[in-house]
Amino acid sequence: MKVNCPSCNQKYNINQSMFGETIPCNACDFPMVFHAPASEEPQPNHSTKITCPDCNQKYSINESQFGSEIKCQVCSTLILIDRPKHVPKDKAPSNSPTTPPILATDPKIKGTSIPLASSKRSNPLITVFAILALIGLAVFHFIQSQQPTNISNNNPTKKINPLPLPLPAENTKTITVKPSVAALENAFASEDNPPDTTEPDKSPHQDALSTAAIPDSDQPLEKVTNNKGELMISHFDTVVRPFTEKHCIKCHGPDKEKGNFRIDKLMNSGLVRSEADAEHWQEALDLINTGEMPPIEEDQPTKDEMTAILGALYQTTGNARDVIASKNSGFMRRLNSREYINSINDLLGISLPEKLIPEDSRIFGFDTFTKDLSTSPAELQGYIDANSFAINKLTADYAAGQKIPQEATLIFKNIPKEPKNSHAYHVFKRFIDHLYKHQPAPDSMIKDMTTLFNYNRKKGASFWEAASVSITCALSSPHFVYILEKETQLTQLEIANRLSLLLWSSIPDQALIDLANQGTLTQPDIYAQQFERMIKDQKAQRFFSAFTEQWLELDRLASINIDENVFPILKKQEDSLKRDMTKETQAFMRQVILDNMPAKNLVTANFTMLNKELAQHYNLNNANVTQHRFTKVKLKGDDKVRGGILGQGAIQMLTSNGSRTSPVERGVFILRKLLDSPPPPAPANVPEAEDVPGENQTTRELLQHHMTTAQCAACHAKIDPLGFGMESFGPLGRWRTHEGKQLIDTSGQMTNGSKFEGYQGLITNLAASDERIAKSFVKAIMSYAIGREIRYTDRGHIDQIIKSSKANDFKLKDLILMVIKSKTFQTKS
Amino acid sequence: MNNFTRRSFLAKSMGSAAALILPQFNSVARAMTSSNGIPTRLVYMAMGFGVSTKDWFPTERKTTSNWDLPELLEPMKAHKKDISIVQNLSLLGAPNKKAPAHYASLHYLNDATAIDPSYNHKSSTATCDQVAAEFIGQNTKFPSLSIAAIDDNKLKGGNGPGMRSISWNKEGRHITGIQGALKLYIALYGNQHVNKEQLANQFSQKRSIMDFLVRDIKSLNSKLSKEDQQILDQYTSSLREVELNLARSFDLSSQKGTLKHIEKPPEELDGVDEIKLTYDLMALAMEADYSRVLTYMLPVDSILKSINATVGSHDMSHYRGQASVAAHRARDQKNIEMLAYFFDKLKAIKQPDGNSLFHHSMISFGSGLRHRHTRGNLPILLAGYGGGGIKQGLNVVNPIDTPINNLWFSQLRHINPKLDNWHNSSNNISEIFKA
Repeated sequence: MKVNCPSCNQKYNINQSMFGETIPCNACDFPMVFHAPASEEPQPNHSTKITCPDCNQKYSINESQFGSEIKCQVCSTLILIDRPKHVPKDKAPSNSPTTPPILATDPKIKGTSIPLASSKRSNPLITVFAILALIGLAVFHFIQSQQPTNISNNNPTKKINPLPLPLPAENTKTITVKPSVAALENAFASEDNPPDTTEPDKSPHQDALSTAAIPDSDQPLEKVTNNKGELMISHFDTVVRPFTEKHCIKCHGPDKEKGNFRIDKLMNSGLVRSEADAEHWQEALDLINTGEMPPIEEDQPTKDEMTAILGALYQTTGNARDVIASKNSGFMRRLNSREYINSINDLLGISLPEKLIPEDSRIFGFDTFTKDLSTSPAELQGYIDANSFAINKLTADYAAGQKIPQEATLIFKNIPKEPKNSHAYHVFKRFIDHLYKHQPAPDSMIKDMTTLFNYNRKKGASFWEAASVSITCALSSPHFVYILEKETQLTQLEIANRLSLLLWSSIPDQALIDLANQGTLTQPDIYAQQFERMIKDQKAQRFFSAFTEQWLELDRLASINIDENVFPILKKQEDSLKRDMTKETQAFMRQVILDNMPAKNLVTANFTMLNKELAQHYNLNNANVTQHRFTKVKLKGDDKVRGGILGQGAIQMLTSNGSRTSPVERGVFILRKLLDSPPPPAPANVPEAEDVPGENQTTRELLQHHMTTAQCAACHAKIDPLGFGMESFGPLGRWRTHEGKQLIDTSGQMTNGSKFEGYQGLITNLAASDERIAKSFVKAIMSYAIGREIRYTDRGHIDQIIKSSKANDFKLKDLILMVIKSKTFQTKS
Repeated sequence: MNNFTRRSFLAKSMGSAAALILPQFNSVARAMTSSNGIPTRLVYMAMGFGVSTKDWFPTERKTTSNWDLPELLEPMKAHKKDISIVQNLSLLGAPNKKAPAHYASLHYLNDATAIDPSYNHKSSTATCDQVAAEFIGQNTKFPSLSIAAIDDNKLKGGNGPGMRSISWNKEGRHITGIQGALKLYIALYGNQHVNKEQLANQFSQKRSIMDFLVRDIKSLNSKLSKEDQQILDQYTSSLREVELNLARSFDLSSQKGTLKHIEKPPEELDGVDEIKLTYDLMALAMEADYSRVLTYMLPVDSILKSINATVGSHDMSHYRGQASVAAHRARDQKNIEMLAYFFDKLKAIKQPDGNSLFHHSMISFGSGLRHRHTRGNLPILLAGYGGGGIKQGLNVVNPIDTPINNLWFSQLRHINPKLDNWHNSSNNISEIFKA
């Protein structure tokens, strides 16, 4: 049937099975929905029509909805449904699942798909601000079509992805469409292209679990390389080869070379030979994922085949990335802005004006990753200006007889307040000896400083003005800004630097330097002693704060906006709430490490750190917290749910969106941070939860869509159920039993299939995976400590640490000690 | 000697102390000017999170000069015949897996095929503004001015985390732009309260620091492994640029007269005020021929604050709730309002041939995101006549997913007719640009 886009008149050809489906117009984005001609459709009984005040979208509603609120699915406005005057009051409205609200259009399409995706490739959402891809029944599997009219000469054929949004139309029948592969697949079937009539698929839930990309929590990771150290294609003989022989080789093999691509050449007897190979496999994965390959006119893979090939390719590409990254050798670190400021503070007791130093432009990973730090003119100019300011003040204070910081007094000892030119060399020597204890300054530096000093004196500068310029240079020099490591095997002093950067975010103090110079620092008992001293030092607070914030991504809280329509009162406390929650988690991490608690305490501690305001927010029944500052609070009875990071508001809030929780985000958080099984990135252009029709669904119900397509379920079957276990915590970290009027279902299951009921069940299961928790923790500490991502080649050392701390219950402080004793930490790699 | 050529003469004779490490730009072409000797100016503005698609794009489905101004473009009413909306240009270069979400400006100006935001934003190619600067910017104080608004938001309002401008230089390195109106003022006007002698002293002092550090780098470099030398290289390149900026700022102060006076801005500025002031400064810089190529990365959150929206830019971009939808529309309209203000300013500045500065400019205002995460069929508004030979007043409806490089190529070709192609484009947008 030929139809026109109501907005822009673009013509389309649709068939009956597409009635009620939402199709975005390629030309203008308008969500089009078409229905059978009115005469065929019976009128619904007892329905009332309402109109969205914002976009005029019409809805049919029934009596059970009077007094409730629905969300407009075109523009997301909340519409309060008043009882129309002419309708008599009936029984109390109920939101039972058996009487779903009826829209003027189709209510229950169990599928959404990519809007407008005009690009051919997938678009994994890999930022830390990952969109809440709450829905996504990717029907992008079924996107083939021919455009009946050319809207351009350059794009004769275009794939259109149906997107189910309701459509303004009168007299429409309400259609319940099952997740029918058939119907959607043939969205734009014309007479020449008759619709497929295969049966719709059963839920892939069970199948997906067995071979999905996310490994089970109690399975060992599979071998990545063969005996010769060559990278292997995962599941090559059992999955990849049979699949490609069945579905790919016909067009991408010796007979035809469609798209100039030969998959048989890529097979390489089961090995990934090069980076180019890995890239090709990634492309293949993307194309299979979006359903572009195999093309729709060819035989399609079965659900099992799909799940299996996706799993295999995810693993292959993940491994390849690791191995390739491992080829890079070590490189030197630059002091990031906070380490730089701390170092100068510790050395001279002066504070650099922070607003002169640009903020680190970090995107992924920790801010100790030099490769990701920008060293631009802004940074350089910033160092020079900041140093100039602070040093000038220091010397001016000294010259005027004012008090100078204690750390600097040693430098100035016996130096006259108005020195002669001949004193300059001496002054500089004092500074250099003090500033460059942790790594040697070049021999020429003092001389160069003196030359510079003389030049500036000739230009009319006073002694201290000229001296300040030279000292500024010494502090802005690359010899100071970069932490140098000469050989692969680090010297004692170089190890001291690493230790100090890890635990103090600064350069080492005299005690540490002395031991290093004596050559005794790395002796086991001295090393352990120093570690204890350093981690208990006040300066270690910098480590606890920065590491916790960055590892657990607490900075994401800044992007969360509490929805004031949903939480009008709490909105007013937004800033203090976020601040307190951040402190809670930071203080907790510090305590749990200092007390050397076993790793499982990260999820099941019997205490937390709270202040009065936060205790109130959490509504604790069994604790009496009266102070504004944070103190250790023992948890009893129901309050026990607050023990462990998943029970903390910061985590609960940053895995929500300000109005609703995101079980997907929470599941991903658990997998990444606690179970060391980061899920692969999501595929392209997955639409928002709000884009899916059906109203007043619980968060859990909305996510059902993930389970009904192989591509989604492959990963989501392992992500979502974890998040469901946390559903008792609302989007602002408060405990709840209901979502709206619905009782929350918090049953779920772990990646290995073991089911649990409720949050306690989740935690008990997680605690049993304490080896994985420990591994996550070790990887994070190590990554932060060595200033780069963990690579394939580090795995051995990490496994070693885990193995030897098992008997010790993976106690956290001991784990850190093992990290700093490891080969990875003590070598440049 | 008319004003223009005298200025360019002065520009050539930099002070002797400033005759240092000027970069050797490849002389790709001599300065391109329009036929009556007045230089063409290029201005590129990028919005971060795109637009509310409803009511921003004209609904007419084919190219026409007879189109209705959509509601959100209402503030452009007075300029309608001098602007065009160019529809369906898309970012196609980077396979999406390499261009994560919320990076509107990561390769807006070059549609690069490979950008690694995790590796210090290294790009595979320069942005078109830098190429333009090579063609027409060599004789000005600032071959190009890369400006970014102050934006505290982590995503930089959708421009992308860590973005400091929308420009990449020839080495593929991200250019750290001038952050905010106050810094732009200082860059243009220098330190006006210091006398010439003091300034010379300041300059030589700063120069002496540079010399010291250059020597220091050399001594360090020789001791490093190859990988570490690459890391140090960032420091070295940055130092070179700091030196260059220093030279320019010295040169500037000896020619204070050519820039019209304006009050020094306060430290803290409201979002909308900051943008308007930036537009003022840009117009002044263009008028004084301090620069002919300017890029500006706009904020979102500061605008939202200014208009008292209750949502942040990210939620706004995803239309989360009624407040977000309203905020999006209000912010979109505000952007157009401020842009119209900029056009008013440019139209009021006369050039020697009697035409306005606006007439001699090619201005683009758009975003690398249509809305949300969509990188295709972007919102682009063009303005100005480039000195002649450009049509305006059109709603141009290209085929879907027309490469955006077609636009940048068209503009570059306009100032350098010898250009056959640029990057992956050799197609002119013929509705607007002369074939």
